[in-house]
Amino acid sequence: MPRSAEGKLRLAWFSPLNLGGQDSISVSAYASELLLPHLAQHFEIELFHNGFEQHQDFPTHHYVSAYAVDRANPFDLVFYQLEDARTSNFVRVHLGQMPGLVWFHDIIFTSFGPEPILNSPWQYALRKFNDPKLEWPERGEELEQFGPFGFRESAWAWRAIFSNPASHAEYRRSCGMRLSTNGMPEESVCLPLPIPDQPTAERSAADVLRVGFCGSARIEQRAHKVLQALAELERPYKLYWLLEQAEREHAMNLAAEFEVTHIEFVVGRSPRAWQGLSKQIDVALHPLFSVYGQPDPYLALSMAAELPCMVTTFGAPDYLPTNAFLAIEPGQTESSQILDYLRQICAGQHRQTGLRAREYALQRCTASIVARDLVALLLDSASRYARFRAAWANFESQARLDVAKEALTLAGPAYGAVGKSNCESDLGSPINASRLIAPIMEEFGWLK
Amino acid sequence: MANILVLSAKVPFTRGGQDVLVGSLMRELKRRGHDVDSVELPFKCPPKEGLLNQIALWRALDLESFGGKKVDLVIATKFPTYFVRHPRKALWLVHQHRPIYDLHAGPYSDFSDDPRDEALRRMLIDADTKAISECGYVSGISRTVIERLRNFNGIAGQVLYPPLPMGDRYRSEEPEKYILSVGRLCGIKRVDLMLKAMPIVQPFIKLKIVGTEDEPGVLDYLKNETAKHNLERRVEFLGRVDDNALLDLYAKAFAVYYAPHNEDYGYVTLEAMASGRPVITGRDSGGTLEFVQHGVNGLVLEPTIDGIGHGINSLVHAPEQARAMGQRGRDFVTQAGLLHAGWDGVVNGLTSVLGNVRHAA
Repeated sequence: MPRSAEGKLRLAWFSPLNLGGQDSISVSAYASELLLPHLAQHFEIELFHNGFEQHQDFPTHHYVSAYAVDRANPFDLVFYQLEDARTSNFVRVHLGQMPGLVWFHDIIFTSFGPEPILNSPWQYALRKFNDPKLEWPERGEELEQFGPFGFRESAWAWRAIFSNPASHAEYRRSCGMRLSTNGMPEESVCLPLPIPDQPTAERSAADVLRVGFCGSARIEQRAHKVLQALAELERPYKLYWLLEQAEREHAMNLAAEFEVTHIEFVVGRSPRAWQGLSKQIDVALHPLFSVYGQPDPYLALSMAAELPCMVTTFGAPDYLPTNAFLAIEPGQTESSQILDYLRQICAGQHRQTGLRAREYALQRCTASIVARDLVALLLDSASRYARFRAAWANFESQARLDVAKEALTLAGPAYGAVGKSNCESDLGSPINASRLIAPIMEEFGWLK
Repeated sequence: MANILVLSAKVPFTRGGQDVLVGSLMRELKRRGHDVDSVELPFKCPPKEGLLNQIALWRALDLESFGGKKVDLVIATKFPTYFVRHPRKALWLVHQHRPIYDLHAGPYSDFSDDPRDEALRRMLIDADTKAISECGYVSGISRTVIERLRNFNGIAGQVLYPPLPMGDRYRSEEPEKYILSVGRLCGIKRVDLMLKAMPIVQPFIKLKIVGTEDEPGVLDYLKNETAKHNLERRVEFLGRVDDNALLDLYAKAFAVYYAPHNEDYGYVTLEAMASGRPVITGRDSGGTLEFVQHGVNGLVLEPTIDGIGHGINSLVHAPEQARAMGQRGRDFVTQAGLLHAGWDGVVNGLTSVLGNVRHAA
């Protein structure tokens, strides 16, 4: 199976990327940056994204040319990262065209805007792949789309991987349609988002309590609860609020509403920026209260920095060991719970919580550990994926022939009519459209 | 002098930059003594599968000679004209079939994730690469078009900007209080953005829209939006206008709006500049960004209703700045040789495939 000169398996990696040294908010780009150097020791990797820029020393291509790159030198494994962001739209589209392993960072997609995949017949196509005896769906029909749940994306994932257990649970609960080879879908797994190896737990000393928060001012991030708690805190404090430029005005207005003034707004949210900020704070707040999204990798970074972390007991953090974080029950008493914890931290409590948090993060989430697990997962999948790709190649050939057949059918009546009206007397018989078109189809290899 | 065929594909009953480009090219080739004619086939899509037939039809054409007259050169312009077989084939690329390239996976592409659509897309890309590689000379009407060709098909080419069709007839007059929009009315041209921005724009500014519907229902949609925002007194739909009327509209406009999504080239940009008008375009407008510099000869704005509306107001509040931008645009077009002088470069490039071929005129 290995095809590279060094005997490594070839891996196609589809993901948004941090390009030109620019940091970004994309979780996929962040994870790529941390994992690719580790993975490159085991695989020959080529990257695919929605652009033409190169990424580090890896061969990098536009996703539109993936089929041609694969045809020239086939990949042994195809890997996608998918998150709820417009920058991932190309991943969302392409994973149905060359299915592979998909690492889901979200399973509910609300940020893609207008439905980008017009009249997708994915349910029919999936059924046909799973049962080749079925007919292709009719062309030109308006097909209903379901959203924002990632039914289509999870169905086309040959093997689904989840960076948070809540999404994984939703997938197992809600996503019934699966791609399968020989009637057996692949087992889905969880793999946490990575944090950098050897994260520091050192921080500077300060006279005031330094509170870190990296959510937007939107209601599900609970900024209003955080601000309400801070407004009532008797001890001196400073809030470091990491946000995006577009969120700043809303955040400032909200802070003014609660008369919280000791704030430093740090513009440019990204995991790297949060990691830098975590060296300057004494407590991290991650009170996300929503079925959308997840607090990682920011939460994992805070835990690795040995910070006591306040986390809502809802959704994604449900899996955390209870003694490694400070639990917040969402609801009316949310701000008073936050306030109580802040007072306790001021009084020197919860250092153990920070130590346990760090221990947990280092055991599970460092890039080398996540990469090791991912390498094992990929190697485990390779032989079965090869069988799937063979079946998929056959499926693609059928699709190709169907297109050629449709084209010939379309050509028949149209040019037959021209022949009858204009050419019959000269040629003795109507023009046979197929006779005209077919040699050219042969020339371009469309009938193979 | 040579016998030359210019190849064109067009959607019947519509008129756009392609028609202007082919007409201008033929005129300039004739002016230089060549015997020139055009070959035009109708372009129809959907259905998508019919694209294969249209490729095949162009491929099946025999353009070697007619009535004993040998064709020395064919000049292909856009998809699928470059599928013609000919020993001397030059390409002045207007655009490829963009729904399989830069528009893929977006709202302007009709290629879904149906495996048959994907199969068709791959067939078309492979065929494009093969047919364009056959050309003895490859060029495109803008850097945007040539970069797409290089990035998606791995084929290099020259940029040959088409000089403006009405040469030095463009003029500038005292600006009146209207924004001018020129172009086919279809989704990708985003005239609706300008229209929806009008409630933000100062109420004494009007909008004049030149162009005809190129997609079913677009005009109704724009008129509904006009009514919905109570803009009937401020928005005027002029349809198609003749050259003199267009020159007049350009000459008196306060500014010209042209912000399509990833435009190939856009005559409108340069016509506006030649008329001394600032151009309002979008950050993702492709070919227009080869000419429009924000704050220098126009505004490059976020392609949103707010972005366009507030951007135009900033210009309305600074009319002297608008005037200066217009003048800088006019200077640019003149210096870049896009009024007349540019044709020598275009014709020399496209006929370079001829080598030493010469026939009696």
